Amino acid sequence: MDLKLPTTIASRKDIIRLHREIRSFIDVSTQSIMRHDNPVKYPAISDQLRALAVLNQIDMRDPKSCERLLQKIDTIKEHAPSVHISFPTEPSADILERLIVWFRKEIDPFIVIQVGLQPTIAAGVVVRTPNHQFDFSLRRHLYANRHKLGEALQRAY
Amino acid sequence: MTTTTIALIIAALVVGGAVFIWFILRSEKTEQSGRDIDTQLANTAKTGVDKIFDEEFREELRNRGRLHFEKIIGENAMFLQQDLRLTTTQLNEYMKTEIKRTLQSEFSKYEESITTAKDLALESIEKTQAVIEQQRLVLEKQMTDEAAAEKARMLSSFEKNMADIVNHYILEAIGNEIDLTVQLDYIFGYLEENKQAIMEDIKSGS
Repeated sequence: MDLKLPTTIASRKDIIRLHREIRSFIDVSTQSIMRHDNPVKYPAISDQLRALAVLNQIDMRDPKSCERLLQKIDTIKEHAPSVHISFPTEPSADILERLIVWFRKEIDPFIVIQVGLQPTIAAGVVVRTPNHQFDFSLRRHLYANRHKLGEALQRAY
Repeated sequence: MTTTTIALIIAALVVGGAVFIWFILRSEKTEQSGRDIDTQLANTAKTGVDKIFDEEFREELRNRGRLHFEKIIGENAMFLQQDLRLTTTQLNEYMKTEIKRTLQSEFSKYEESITTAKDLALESIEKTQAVIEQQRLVLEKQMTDEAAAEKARMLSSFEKNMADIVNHYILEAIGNEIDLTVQLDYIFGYLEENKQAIMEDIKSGS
């Protein structure tokens, strides 16, 4: 699939919303064409759809292009891999963007992420894939190095 | 004058009177018959007795007898008093001796009983002390073992939960002040390390 997803489209909800928006866009534009409106009326599009169209150089005024885009988005909605990332605090957009870039570059170009909050991890992140959990938190790091903590405590006493 | 003396005097008088009567009766016996002689002898004896034992003599005898009796009574009372004193003294001595002996015996028994009781008490105390000491050692060992086990359990629990404790401390100490941006290198480092595993799991999951 030659489609590229912008970083603003990060989660499965974004994909679903985008799918619904494209469907609505096609319906409204088709109705306008069938009514022989001059000029044809197109609904306003979201920043995400605009970014997607710009990134993939898609002419949204072309119904066939829109239909192909819809099909691709539908395929992504159904089959895009997903990872869940838990953060200790609310991540900034920049951090999310850098993570998405990494995942789409290194793992899968259509991967979507789901963000969660887990304050108990203190620092780091916990990544959950469909069958596994990758704990990159400070708690896991401390647990893995608890013998060093014990040695440090013994030195302190 | 003793009673014996008085009795001898009385006996001498009676014998004298009898001899006198016998001589009178003997002189008249040849001239008178038997009954008359007897009557005469009786009268003579009576008269003689009356003459000899007149009221004054009888009073004298009574006085003598009374005095002698009083003397005898006095002497006997004195003897009795002496005997009584002697007996009392002896009795006192005997009582003292017996009481002393009895007391000594009782004290000896008492002392022996006390000694036995003391020995039993000491033995019992020693046994009790031995048992207490034994129990103390057992308890001490139990306490030591339990303390060591508790210490080991606490240390184990602490070591087991040390990561959580430190993590909790960090969370409480700095909380949300940890900047995710500064953690990105650390996060990307881990992601790079586990990239292959993540990729395989996603492919197998999808």
